Amino acid sequence: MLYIGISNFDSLWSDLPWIMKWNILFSLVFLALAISFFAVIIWIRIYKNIRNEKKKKQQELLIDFLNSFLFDEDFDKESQIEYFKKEHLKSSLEIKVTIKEILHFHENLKGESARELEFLFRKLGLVDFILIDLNKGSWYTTARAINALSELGIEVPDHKIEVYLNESRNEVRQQSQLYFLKLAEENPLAFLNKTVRPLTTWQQIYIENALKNFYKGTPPDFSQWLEHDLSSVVEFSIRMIARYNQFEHIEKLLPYIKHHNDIIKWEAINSLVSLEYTELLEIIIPDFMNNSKLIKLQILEAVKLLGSYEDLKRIGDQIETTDWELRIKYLNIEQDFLPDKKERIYSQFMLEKQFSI
Amino acid sequence: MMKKILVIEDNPMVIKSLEFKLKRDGNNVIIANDGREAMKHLKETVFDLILTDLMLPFVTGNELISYIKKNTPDTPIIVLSTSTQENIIMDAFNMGVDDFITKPFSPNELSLRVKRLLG
Amino acid sequence: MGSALSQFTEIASWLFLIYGSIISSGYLFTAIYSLFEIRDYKRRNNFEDDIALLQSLNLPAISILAPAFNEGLNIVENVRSLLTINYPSFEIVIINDGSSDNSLELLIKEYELEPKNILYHNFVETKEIKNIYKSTNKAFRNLTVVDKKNGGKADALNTGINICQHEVICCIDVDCILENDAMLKLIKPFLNNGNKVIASGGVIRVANSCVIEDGRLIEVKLPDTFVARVQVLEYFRAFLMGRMAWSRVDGLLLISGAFGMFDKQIVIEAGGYNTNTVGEDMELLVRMRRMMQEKNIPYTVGFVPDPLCWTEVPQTWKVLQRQRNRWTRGTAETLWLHKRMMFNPKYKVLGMLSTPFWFFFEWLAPLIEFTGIIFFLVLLLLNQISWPVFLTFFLAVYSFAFLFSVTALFFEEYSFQQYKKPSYIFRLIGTALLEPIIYHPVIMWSAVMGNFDLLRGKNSWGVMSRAGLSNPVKKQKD
Repeated sequence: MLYIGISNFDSLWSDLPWIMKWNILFSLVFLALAISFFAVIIWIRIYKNIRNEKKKKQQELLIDFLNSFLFDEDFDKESQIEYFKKEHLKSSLEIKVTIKEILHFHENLKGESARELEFLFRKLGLVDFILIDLNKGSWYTTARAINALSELGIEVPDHKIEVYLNESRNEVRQQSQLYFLKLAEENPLAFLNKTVRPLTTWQQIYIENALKNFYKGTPPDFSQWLEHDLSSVVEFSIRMIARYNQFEHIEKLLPYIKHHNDIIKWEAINSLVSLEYTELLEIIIPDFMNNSKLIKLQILEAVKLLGSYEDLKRIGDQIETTDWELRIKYLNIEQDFLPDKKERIYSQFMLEKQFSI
Repeated sequence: MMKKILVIEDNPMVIKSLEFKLKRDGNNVIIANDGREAMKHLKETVFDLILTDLMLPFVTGNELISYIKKNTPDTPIIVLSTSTQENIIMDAFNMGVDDFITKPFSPNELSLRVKRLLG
Repeated sequence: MGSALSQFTEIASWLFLIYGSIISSGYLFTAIYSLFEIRDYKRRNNFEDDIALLQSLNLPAISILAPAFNEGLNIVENVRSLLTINYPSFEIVIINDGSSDNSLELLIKEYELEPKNILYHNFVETKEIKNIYKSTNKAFRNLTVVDKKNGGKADALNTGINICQHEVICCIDVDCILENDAMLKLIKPFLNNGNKVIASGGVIRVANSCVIEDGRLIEVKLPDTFVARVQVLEYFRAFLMGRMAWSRVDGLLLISGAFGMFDKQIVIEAGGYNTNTVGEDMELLVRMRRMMQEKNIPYTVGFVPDPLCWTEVPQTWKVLQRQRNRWTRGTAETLWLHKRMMFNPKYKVLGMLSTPFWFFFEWLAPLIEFTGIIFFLVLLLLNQISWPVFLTFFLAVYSFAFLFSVTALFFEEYSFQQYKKPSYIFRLIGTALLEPIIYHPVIMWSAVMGNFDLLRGKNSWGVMSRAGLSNPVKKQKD
């Protein structure tokens, strides 16, 4: 029976035109793939649902546990920690969620509560798991592990992190930089001397944030990186000199307002304005014409913040009538300087606009 | 007498901590998870102190502050916000808030400042 | 006669087969590419905390531009929800494009607006501006409402570009629902220095039947209507597979008009939105990219796969057909305007990959399919159909279409999993099974008609009457 069936099928198949054979073959492959994808989807769904359920349970548990631990004076810390460790840190998911949740608390709290969380993290033995992640080798677990280490101030031998300072992956590089920064007792930006890849704006934001919120020592002298090979580092240092009010470096900033790179030039003017260096205007106003639009706008901004109406007028005839962006900026500042002439400036502008059309 | 504090915040972790801490200090804490809920509470009840975030779902913290200042100008307001930018803080003070605490925050310090404004 | 016909049939079958195989392998590559891109994206964004971003002074300020035409139904809630976006520094510019309803009055009343003299210049020419409004309430200091004469969406956006304050603009539909951190996510490509970023786009999701309160997404639900449900699948395929892969090779030609971020100076330099096409979103990006390549400035276009923006899609066949008719015309117009780019190695990926792909597989595909059907009908009339061959061919095409949708569904499950109820999967699978038979022919027909209308010189938008995002579960505002 079976043999006849197969031979029938054989002859039927070989009699088919080639195009049908292909069509049938393709259909079968596609359908098989579709069905296996479907099976995977169902599996992912069930897996994720169960996982999310467990996650949520663990999170709720942790919120109560952490709050009691932090704020309840009657909470028996020693025994409760032992109990939690024994009962609720069994699966790798539980551990993962606990690490994440403690980190989340830590990001939102500072002072004594933050220190207590760090203590708790060690007590629960979670550091070991972070170290396992660190040594795993795939870039995203490494990055995540370094992130946890630095957030909670856990020290490991320098060389373990140093290798990642010039990693090609942005994320790993950034986390390793932040690690050195957050754990430093002094000279938090020493890693800049070893950096050969440009700092992205994104990285600069996180570095500045860590400097302000984590680093407790004396602020570094930012002028030491003004000569750095990377223009992004120079740009960052110029900005930080202003953010940290390092007035003593004003002299060192001055050359940069003549820099050939507009971004650095812009940053230098901006910083000198924040440092309220009024002599700046005497240098940049006469030179107004010879700049790009980006810088011209910044010079106007400088006049608005540091200068007077007299200073503004000195720029007035250096602006082309067709340079609308500059003119609008100019007039807006003029309106600020002369509040009672606001209406007149506006109607005159609208009139001119009409005529130029 | 228990003081009535309205906490307006959308981060569940922060809410729990604030609730825990402020209740321990002996206050009556009412929670609003978003701006709309807060608006409802503000229309129904007068509070002794309001602790609010600026970035909130449905109604911004700024709109809430402006509403409070219009209707119960004497209720002290503390802003608890992620923002550290000078202009945002200045804007908040210009609208009449009494204190500005930035996140990450220290619960003990926050509790002290609450006590100062209530006392 | 008979042999000539069979020879012709043979050749035609071959052509269809080759075309089909090229399209299929194209899709296959896209799928593989996007899978890697999505995996990478997820891993990269595993542990970022937003606090540092929200505290930063270095994030560029954003101007959010939202044109509104007769949106009175929801405009007050939509603006309020826009104001709650999590971002350190932004302004909202609502452009009332000559609405004939009471949108403007509603806004003036709710947000305490009054006319203000604001200096501006028409960097891009637009229809006349009647008034610019600002709020007297400090809480709404970052809201600007522009009232102008009606000129269409492109013209309204251009007006916004002329008036707004900041250098990064985000163009959105006023009724789309944004996630809280939409701006924080969309700006990220701009911060990874390297090549200049001229634009970044995000994923659009289908909001129909979702629970929405006061301009905020509360619960994601699968649309009740078949038409909208198919579009859920379509959007998965287009965004999670298509654009993700195009973004990996930096060949994106389209950032959806409902949600995209741009460098304002580049937009102005390129001339702003084109008011003479119905595909203004695609046309602008193509023009910007073309300009950058002609100037030889290295640049890039970013793309973010998180579900950040939810929008209502057509629920009825009629509105859907109008929309697809318009999309076809938009694509055709854009490709025609920039025909010089096609197969031009000077434009690199754009010239050698993107534009040809759009031409052959987006624009031409429905026409070829249509020809195929005509061909089939002719054979049918001549009684020349070999039914077994036809049926197996149909089965192959059908199973491929199904496989493609299931793959897209798999991507969604793997990545963001927004449709959480288990029953939704079965409904989506059912939808995927029906789509090729019921939905696809309509789409194809609309595309054919779109081309036909284009030849006849039709140039209208086709009014998209929105059902309004209200639904029975929506709570009443007090």
